[in-house]
Amino acid sequence: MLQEFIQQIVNGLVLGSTYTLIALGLTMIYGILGIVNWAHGELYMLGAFAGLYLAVVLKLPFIVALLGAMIILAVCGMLLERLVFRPLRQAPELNMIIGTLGISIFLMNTAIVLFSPNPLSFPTEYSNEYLSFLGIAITMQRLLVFFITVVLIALLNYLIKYTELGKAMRACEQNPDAARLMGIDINRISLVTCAIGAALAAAAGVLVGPIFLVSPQMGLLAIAKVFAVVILGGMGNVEGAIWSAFILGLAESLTAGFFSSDYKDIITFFILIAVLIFRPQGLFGNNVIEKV
Amino acid sequence: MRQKKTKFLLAVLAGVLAAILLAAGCGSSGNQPAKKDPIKFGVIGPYTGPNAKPGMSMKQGVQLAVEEINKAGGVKGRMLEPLFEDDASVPAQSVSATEKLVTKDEVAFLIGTFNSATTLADMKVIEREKTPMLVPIAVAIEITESGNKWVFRNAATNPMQAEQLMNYIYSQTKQRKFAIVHENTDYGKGLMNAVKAYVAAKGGEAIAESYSIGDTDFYAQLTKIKNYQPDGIIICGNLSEGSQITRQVKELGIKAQLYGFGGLSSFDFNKLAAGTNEGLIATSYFESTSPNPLAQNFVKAYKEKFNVEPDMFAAAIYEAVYIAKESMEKMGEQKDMAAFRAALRDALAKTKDMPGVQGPTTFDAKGQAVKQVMIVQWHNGQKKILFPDK
Repeated sequence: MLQEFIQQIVNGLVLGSTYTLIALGLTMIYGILGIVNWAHGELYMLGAFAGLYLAVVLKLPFIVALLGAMIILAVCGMLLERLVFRPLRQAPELNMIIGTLGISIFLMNTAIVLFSPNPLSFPTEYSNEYLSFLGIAITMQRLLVFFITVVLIALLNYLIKYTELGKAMRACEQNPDAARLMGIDINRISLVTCAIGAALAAAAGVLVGPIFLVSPQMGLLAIAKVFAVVILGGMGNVEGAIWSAFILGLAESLTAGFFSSDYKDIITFFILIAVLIFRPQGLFGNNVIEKV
Repeated sequence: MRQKKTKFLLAVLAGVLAAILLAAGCGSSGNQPAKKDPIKFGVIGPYTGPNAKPGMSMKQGVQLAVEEINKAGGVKGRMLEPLFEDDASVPAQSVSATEKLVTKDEVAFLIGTFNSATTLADMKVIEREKTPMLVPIAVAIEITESGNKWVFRNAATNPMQAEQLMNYIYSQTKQRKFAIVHENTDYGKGLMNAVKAYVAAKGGEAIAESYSIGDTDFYAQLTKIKNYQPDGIIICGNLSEGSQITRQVKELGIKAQLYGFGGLSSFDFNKLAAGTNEGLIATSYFESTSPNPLAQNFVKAYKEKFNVEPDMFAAAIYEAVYIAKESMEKMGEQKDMAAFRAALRDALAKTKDMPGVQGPTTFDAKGQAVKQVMIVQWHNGQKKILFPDK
């Protein structure tokens, strides 16, 4: 019983890490630029394909493939910003939503044409390393997801809190006009934010792809739950998203493990609705209301 | 702002108008089939979208059957002409494809679809338009249990498949404790219910765990199953989720015999499962190594034409075209399309012991054929036929 409980906790933590990874970039772009990026799931999918290409076709070590995919997607993120987000910045909010939705559909169908709709497996040098400790089973690949998630969270936290760039980003978040008056180049901040957001999506794709499957539809399937995570944590709140990702991961694991798998998805959206009714600012909303 | 709103409204109006015009274009006109006109029939399948691959097999199976039949003189001198319409596995799109084929293209009959949900949606149209439809792939039990007399299916239903697999397990092994992992759809639940009913009737115990299509992480369900310590795990789902289940079963170190249905006997599944399917036993509608001589000829011709091995979807739909041909040959001259469709329905209903690549077909009063499935086991990326053993 105890062993089963611990196994479910471990399962929940890994699941939570996968949600965290995808949610980070999404909530960051929203927080700093105010853009609800529906195409984020597709950036995650493209990241997974880029990683698959580097690791499986070019046979590069997994960590190199991970970094490579992050760089490739950072460039894609900048293109997205330059070609779509920037021209739409002054337009009504609805235009931006339709714009990102359009990009999402465009990217997914392009991927279907290029890579075929069939899912692919993404084997890495860690996939077949099975670990077992006191009857708790896990693979090296899953452990890696958890640890790299923690590392990325730490790096992002450092970047936002302690660097010049991070300060400029937070200034833009609080008041873009005042930030511009202080001599901050908004276009540059917007470009960098999109690059980082897309690179985080790529990291998610390359880390999650090997434990599941890689397919053009993977972004679409993942994004609904990730939006739940982001809303739960308070839109734009990076820290809140991390906490709520782990809460949801654990809730799903324990519900399926100790009640019934039929309720696994119900619980996610039940929590979401309850939070929207009682705490519309999100579970962790108060912590970051910094608007003056 | 006001100007923008007007523009927006105009755009919406234009869109609505276009849609109405398109819909009006689908109106029918009662053509009479001239003597040597080709016989047109519709084939509805997912040629795009997540099931595009089996959709391609469906198309090729039909193309091969039509080519063979036409080369041999057609049906009483009339050539067969298939019209392919895409439904992308979406019920609404499937219904409009059916409407178009039946009312605008005036096809004599239909073959399709891939998914049970799309087939069930299309059945309302064929009943209204009195057009027969052959269902070679979709397996939900409701399709032939709904009382629709225009539908004929040459595929084993969920309960048939489940019963035949369980018969095999109960006769060949001592396993009586099962964990079922099923997709929460008509397909997965149908299989799960049939397995549970069998176990309840024949003695044994079973638990069931569900998942949604597109799910990727099954650790929660499998951890529970690991603790239950079943003799066998029965996967009631498709290859994409199925391959991740077999992988995660291995990762968690669960020692139980794995079982599956339909899609889990395909080579696409084998590729995705990448070795974690070793020893898995699955039902199969069709094997290219089948000793049936009709099947052997089909496999040879298919490989020559398309350069790939046929899968069960190609085989099933190929068989369906021949069933339709056989029935049409038994019919007399018909005065118009409505009479042709009605006569074809009656002829199909009389199909008895018609040989086919998947074995003989006899339709019962509900239009369902009793089909024997094969049982195969994966070993080193190849399949061994366990049943029938001769």
